[in-house]
Amino acid sequence: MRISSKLLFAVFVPLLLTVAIGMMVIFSNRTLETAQDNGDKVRLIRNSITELNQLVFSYIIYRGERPKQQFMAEYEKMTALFASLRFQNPDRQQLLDEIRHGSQFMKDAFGRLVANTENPGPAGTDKMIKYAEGRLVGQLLIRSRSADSIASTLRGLVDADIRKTRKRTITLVFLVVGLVIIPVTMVLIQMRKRITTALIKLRNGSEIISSGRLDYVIPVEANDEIGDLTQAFNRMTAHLKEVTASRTDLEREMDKRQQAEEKTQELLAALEVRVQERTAELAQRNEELTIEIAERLKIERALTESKEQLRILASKILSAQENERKRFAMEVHDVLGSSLSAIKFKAEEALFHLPQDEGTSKISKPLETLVPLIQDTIGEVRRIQADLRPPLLDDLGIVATLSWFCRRFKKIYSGI
Amino acid sequence: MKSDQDLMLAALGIMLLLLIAGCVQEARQPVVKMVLGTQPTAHNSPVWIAESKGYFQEEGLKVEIREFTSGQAALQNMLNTKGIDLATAAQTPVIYNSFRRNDYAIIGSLVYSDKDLNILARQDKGIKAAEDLKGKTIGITTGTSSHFFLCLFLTNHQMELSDVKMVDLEPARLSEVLIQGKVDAIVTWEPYIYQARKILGDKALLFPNQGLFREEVYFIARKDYLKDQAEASKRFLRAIEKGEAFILKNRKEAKEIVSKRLKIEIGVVNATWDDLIFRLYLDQSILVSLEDHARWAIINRLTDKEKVPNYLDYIHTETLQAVKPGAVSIAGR
Repeated sequence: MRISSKLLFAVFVPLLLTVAIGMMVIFSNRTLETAQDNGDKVRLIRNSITELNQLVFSYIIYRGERPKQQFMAEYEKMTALFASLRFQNPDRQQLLDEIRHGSQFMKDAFGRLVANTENPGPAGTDKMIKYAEGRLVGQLLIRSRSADSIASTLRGLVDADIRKTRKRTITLVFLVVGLVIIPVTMVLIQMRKRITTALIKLRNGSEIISSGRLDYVIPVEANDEIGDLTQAFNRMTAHLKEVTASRTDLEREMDKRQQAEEKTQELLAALEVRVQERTAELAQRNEELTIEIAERLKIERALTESKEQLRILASKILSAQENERKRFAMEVHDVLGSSLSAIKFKAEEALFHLPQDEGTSKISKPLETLVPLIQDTIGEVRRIQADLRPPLLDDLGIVATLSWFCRRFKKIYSGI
Repeated sequence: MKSDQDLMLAALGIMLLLLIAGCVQEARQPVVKMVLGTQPTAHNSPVWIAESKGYFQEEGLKVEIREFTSGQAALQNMLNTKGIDLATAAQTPVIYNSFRRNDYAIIGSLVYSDKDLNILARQDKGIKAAEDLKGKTIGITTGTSSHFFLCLFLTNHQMELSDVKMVDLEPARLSEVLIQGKVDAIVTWEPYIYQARKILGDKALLFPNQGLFREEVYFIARKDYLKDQAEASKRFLRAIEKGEAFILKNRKEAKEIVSKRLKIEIGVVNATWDDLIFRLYLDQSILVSLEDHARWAIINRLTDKEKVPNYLDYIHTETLQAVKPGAVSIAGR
């Protein structure tokens, strides 16, 4: 439980207790007053019964008007007391009812006694009347004695109620005080002890930490405000430790850093030397590369020129080749083709002029076979001419020539 | 705080153990067998309640209830045959036996009534007023308080017992004989008055008690039994006290229990209970009442004795004083 809650408890519980006790005392006082009031009334009723009894006997002895009047007056007084008295407890109320009924019968019996006295019977009935009176007195006595006993019992019970109420109130007060004050006191003592111990630990811990031991953790032993404070203190110490090194750590750190710095300086120096060396190397290399690049450029230039020359040369060679092919094709066409055509013409003419008989068959048949051969040869010559320099190339250009070539390839090699 | 809790728990545990030990101790008391002789009427309602609610068992008693037609019969059985240990009877049987013996005592009252005993007459027999009873035949149980009441009633109306013809009958037969017309009137208790009035209707004329006589019924035991079984007697009265308390707090339920036990209509119980006060007590009025009764018996020559016995010898206050001290108010005790 939190200290604030405990303190609140320690403050409010006694306050509530005081209020509760106050209310109990007020309530008990009221109950006591009522019980005492009832007790007084029962006492008065009992006194009235005794008085009535005395008046009955007084009347029996003296038969006067005074006891009769007093009896009625006392009875009326007692009736008023009955009317003003009521018990919550059914036992007590039953006793009161019995007293009331008993007193009612007393009154009736007394009334009969008075009637017998004031209205005596016919002559000769004295003995009977006396006997009847004796019976009546007997019953009166029984009733009054019974009522008196019951009133005494009731009074005793009411007194017992009063004592019980007083005792109960005192017991309850002591019980409540005991049950509340003792635990509250124990709680407060315990709380004081806890708080003091915790604060001492906190103080000791803070002294240790202030001496430089930032790694010291104060033990947290309570789940209350002191515990919170201890935890906060520990967190502060940890944070302090994080951002502020201890002196020893700091010196060590400084040495380490100094060493590291020196080493770094050495390394830097070495690096500087190496950089310089390397820079010199690079400069030299750069120079060499520049020269090499210049040479390469020169070579490249020469190469380019050479390529151009080669291209020109190749072009010239191709042109020469083409011209040669063209010339050869023309020669083939013009010389070979025309000759073959003439041969074929003469063969055909000879064949035409040859008579068709058996004697010329030996000449005509070879001529007949010769003509196709010549034709075929003409065809081959044309092919050779076309292969060497297609005529379309000069007339229609390369595109039309390629198209023609492709159609011819397709025709020859239709299966591909 | 934890140690405080442990301490409190330990204290509670010890208290619980003690309580259990007490209960076990309570439960271990030996069961005592007891025989009670009583009448099967609503007058003994605390007995029926104690029997029904198990109060006798709670007190470690095994009570056997034997039924008798009258208190006189029960008392006779207890004194002569020792067949029963306790009996219930009204004043008249107590005083009748007191002239011959003093080996018994009253340990407490059971019930009293100022209106229970009544006279019921038949109007068709020419009875219109109390005076008309003169010369008539009246059914009665002699030797009981009804006998005493009749005497008081007649005396109150300037008549004597010799002015009427008494027919001695058991109480249970009285209503029957009146209905049959064999008698002109009866003097008896509830529920017999109720039963007869129910049948006769307008023919019946009731002469109420009007406080002429307070009938009291007591628990009576032999003195030797009280000496030997003092503890059992206390337990018995404790059970009866519980029965009384139950009646006071649960009147309706108590009537139902009595109705069921006696196998009578609830109307009969209602009629009977209206006139009864159930209270366990011993007070001075009992002595006065017994003496008055005794004087009557002597005067009317119902006994050959001439001296009224000292009824202090017939009251045993110790038992009730141990159970309910406030209920005993006898001078000198």
